[in-house]
Amino acid sequence: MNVGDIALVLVVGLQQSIAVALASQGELITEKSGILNIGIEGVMLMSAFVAAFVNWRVEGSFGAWSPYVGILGGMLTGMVMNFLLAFMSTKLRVNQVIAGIGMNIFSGGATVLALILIFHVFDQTPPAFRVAPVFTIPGMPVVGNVSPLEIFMFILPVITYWFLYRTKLGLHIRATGENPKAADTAGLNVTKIRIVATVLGGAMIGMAGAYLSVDYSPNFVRGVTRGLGFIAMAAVISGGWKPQWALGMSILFGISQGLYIQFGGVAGYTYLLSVLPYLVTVAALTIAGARLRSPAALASPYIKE
Amino acid sequence: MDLGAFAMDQFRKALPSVFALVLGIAAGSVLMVISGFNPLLVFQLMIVGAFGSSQGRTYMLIYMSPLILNALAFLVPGKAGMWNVGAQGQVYLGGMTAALIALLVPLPGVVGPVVCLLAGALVGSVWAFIPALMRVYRNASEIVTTIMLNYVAASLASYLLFDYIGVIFPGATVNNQSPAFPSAFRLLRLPGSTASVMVIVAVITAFAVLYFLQRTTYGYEIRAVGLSPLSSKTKGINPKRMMLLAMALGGLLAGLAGAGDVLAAGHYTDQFAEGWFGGEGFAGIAVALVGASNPVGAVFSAVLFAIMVAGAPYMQSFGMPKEMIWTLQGLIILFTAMPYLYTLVQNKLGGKSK
Amino acid sequence: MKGICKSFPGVQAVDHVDFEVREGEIRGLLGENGAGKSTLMNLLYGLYRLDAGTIEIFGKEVKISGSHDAINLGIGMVHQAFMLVSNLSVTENVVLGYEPARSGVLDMKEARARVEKLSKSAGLPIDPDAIIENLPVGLKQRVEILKALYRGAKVLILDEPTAVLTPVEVTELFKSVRKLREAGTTIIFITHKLHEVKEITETITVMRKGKVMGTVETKDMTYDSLAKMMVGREIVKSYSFSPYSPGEVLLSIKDLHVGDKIKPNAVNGVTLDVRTGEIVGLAGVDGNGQTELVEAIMGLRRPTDGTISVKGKVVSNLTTKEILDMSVRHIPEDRASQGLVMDFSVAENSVLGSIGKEPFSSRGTFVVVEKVREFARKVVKSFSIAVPSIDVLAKNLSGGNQQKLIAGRELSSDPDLLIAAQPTRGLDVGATEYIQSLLVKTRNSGKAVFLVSADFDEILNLSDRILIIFEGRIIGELSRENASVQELGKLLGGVAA
Repeated sequence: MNVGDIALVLVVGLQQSIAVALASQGELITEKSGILNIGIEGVMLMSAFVAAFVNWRVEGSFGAWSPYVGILGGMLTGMVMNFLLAFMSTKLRVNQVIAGIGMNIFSGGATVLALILIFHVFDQTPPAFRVAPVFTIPGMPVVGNVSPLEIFMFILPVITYWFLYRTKLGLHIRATGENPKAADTAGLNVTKIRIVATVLGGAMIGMAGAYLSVDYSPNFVRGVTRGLGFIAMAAVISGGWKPQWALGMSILFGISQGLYIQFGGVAGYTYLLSVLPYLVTVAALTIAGARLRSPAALASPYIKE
Repeated sequence: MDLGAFAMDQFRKALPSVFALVLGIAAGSVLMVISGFNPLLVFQLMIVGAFGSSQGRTYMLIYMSPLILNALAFLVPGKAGMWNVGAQGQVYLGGMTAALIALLVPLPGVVGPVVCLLAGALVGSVWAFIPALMRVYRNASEIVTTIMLNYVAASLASYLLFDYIGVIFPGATVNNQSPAFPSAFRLLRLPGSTASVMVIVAVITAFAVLYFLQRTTYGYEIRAVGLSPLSSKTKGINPKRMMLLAMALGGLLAGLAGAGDVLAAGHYTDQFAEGWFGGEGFAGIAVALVGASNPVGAVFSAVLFAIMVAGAPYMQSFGMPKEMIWTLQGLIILFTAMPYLYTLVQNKLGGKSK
Repeated sequence: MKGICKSFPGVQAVDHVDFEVREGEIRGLLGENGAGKSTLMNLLYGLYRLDAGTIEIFGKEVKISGSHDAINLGIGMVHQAFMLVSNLSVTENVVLGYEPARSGVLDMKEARARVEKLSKSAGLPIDPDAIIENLPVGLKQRVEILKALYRGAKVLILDEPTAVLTPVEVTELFKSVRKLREAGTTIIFITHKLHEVKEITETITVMRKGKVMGTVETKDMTYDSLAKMMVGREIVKSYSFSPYSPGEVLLSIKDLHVGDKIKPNAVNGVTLDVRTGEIVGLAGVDGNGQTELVEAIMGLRRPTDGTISVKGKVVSNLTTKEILDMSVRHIPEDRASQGLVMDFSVAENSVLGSIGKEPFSSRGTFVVVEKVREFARKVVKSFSIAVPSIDVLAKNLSGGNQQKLIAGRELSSDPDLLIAAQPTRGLDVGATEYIQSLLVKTRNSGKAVFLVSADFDEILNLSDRILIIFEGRIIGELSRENASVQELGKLLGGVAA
């Protein structure tokens, strides 16, 4: 192992963090308002598919810009799905855990179904245009392509932070997730705030999903999310529901994934490294566990007395 | 106890789940229409596929066992308030254990399968116990940790096949499956069928779980802790212990399912728990929810799901992809999450004003 | 407020009350638990809806259908349970819902400035950037007051504000109250503490059992006269007590301290004994440490100092199960969340905690259903629990039957020591009498009973010895003979003998 290897791991690792980093910011905002979105995995998956589909469809009209249209499609998907979840959680008082599980399973099936019915294949969509890199790290062709979304990954937490701590809506969101009764008596519409927060979160989750199928790959591959949604959730939890730490945890995950990609070929270490990201997540949750403070009203539907 | 009143009571308790099932099927039908299929035809094909051929009937018997056991694996921890979303991984661990024993440990006839099943169950139990410990002592969400361990287990399963079995028995892993197990490890078959007796094991286990929950002190305390941890503590019951026990049992059941799957197949493949609509562990969750989180309900619910699964290949031969079942499963789970919907409808129909 | 009525299931909380306050007054609203004072003020603040009666502000009749209406009318209320968002700052909490902002973006500088200005003019110093969860209770309360003032409260209602304060914080609060009065705010001060009401108020309205007893000038009243109004002369129910001859000490508590981060001195040095053959009544209004004391005795909380012994053996570090095994039983304060599993049947609840024992299970594992049901039937019969079958779920029982179930379960094991916490809270007359007679019977049969209750009458009727707990300490002891209503009233109000 030398400096070059380490550099490669970092570069690849950062690339691997993008989806989780983007999605975790969205999940963070949602959870700050008190809604637990376990369906994040399913939302990412669906968004990935829709983004790939849109990208493929509009290739002709938009040329190299079609991936961005795809991203928009993905974001919209995320917003719609999250809206449904928020609506169910507030007006219909669903059990948020079961609803999330249902959403994930539904998305798993629906995406493959769509693959078969629309594209008549079982595994992946045909390739289309891909998001062009902003620049390339010298000396690292291909791997060193830095996507605009990678840059955005660092900007988003700043935006999230500003939004949550410097705007009226952000303040309302934080109040609703901590003490909905206090928010209610202060005159806030708890239901509306939760729905808005969840939909906003959905936009970012959708963007993360889209990234996977219009940037990381030029197409949608069945099951592409492979647990990234849950890892994003874990990033939020172990990051103490703070935007900057969620980013940090996402990068930690990405690097462990990077280790696998770089050194996974080394005989005997393949499978260990392939599960490293998941183990890292478990470890993070365990270590951070007892000291963390979730939004107090997380996952409890607010029923007005 | 009045049997009639008991039956009525059970029926009333099952209604919300049946309602959810109906809504899920309705939503699925809408989806089918959008995709250009005729729902009535689809369900007809499904039933014909399941019952109309000996192949289909065999599949039903084969699939019922993992469906029941995985449902129980979700249900038992649920009684203590723990979400076991890790049955999928626990199934893998159970199957892996059984495979290893079958391939490496020479055991005589009846003993072999029994040892495999028990060992598989035990290892599955450990795989569930780890996240349980983290939840009870470190407040780490068992939902996330069990799911993470699912992925670890899936990877381990491949590792076992290619990097271990494939090494010990060089050249034997053709078609991505291990060499066949020695005949001593073959499970008994049901009379007149190629399906193994696992389905009987599963049904017996379901009743055993019912007995455990309703007729043992441990089952009682698990339920008490799940329903009212505070009152349990006040009366000296230790909620932590019960939560750990419940999860361990959940893992035990899933591990048993995995071991059973592998033994019934007679060889080990690295994806034996997939190909199952996102995994048999998750199918188990749907079965449990539709079964109103009741072991016997789970058996009935498993029959329904077994029909869906067994009929799928026939359905597919007519152009309806079997992934539709997967999607349907998700919709059904979504609707079971909304018991309030049932209350709303009940109120509307009952003419009650709220 | 004229002719106000409000009832909840089973109880008439406010019974034809007329209540009038002049602008700029500091009015005390005095009464014991259940007198109706909080309910009356919650009606004024719009948290409950009136069953009957009218409210007038400055002579104009108003309709208050929610706290927003009340706030708009200039009424503010600080509750015992704060409505603060713990992870937000003082400024954020004060301005929540009324934030200064430019097109959605918070103007924190302006918000901060406003809070600072308000804090100065009201004489309520506070750090605007402090995070709520790091503040001591006294300051949290100050934030609540600032919240109300920020929203333009001209009438400020304080509900038992000193319940959670240290003596130093109480002094600070009183300073603030006086300053607010000077600035023209009208203050309504709900309390049960006599010395406070004497110190800070100008006039006092006394309520008892939902009715107003009268409104008086503070300077004209003595502790005795106030206590008499507050407690009154009640008909003492008579139970037959066998001659009082207490035996050995069963429960012994020495210099006990119990507390946690939120309330470090909930129990602040309590020493008491309970012997066989007596009922020791621990009298006190909620929030004076009784809950924590009982939790410590039952092993649900670790004491921070001092010892608890049962039958001579130290139990302060034992588990709840071990304590229960020493023939100690507990009727908990909150039957729904601590006494029963609401979704279990009567039969299942009857063996909660004892299912592992003979004869309910063999070898501690296999439940002998017939024995359980037999026991349940016995309890139902012996304790007159009115249920059609033992399979009815606990949540479908009336409060009285639920409590009888708990009492029956606990007493069936013939415990040597019974701790009864608020045993008749929320029960009707019939159930109350029944439970109380059970306690007397237990005492008569030579057992030790430790009764913890906020109900004066109950304490007076049942106790051989009365101990009064106030702010974590025992401030007085009365025996059945010398217990008078006035004495008890004074002590409950914090006026030590």
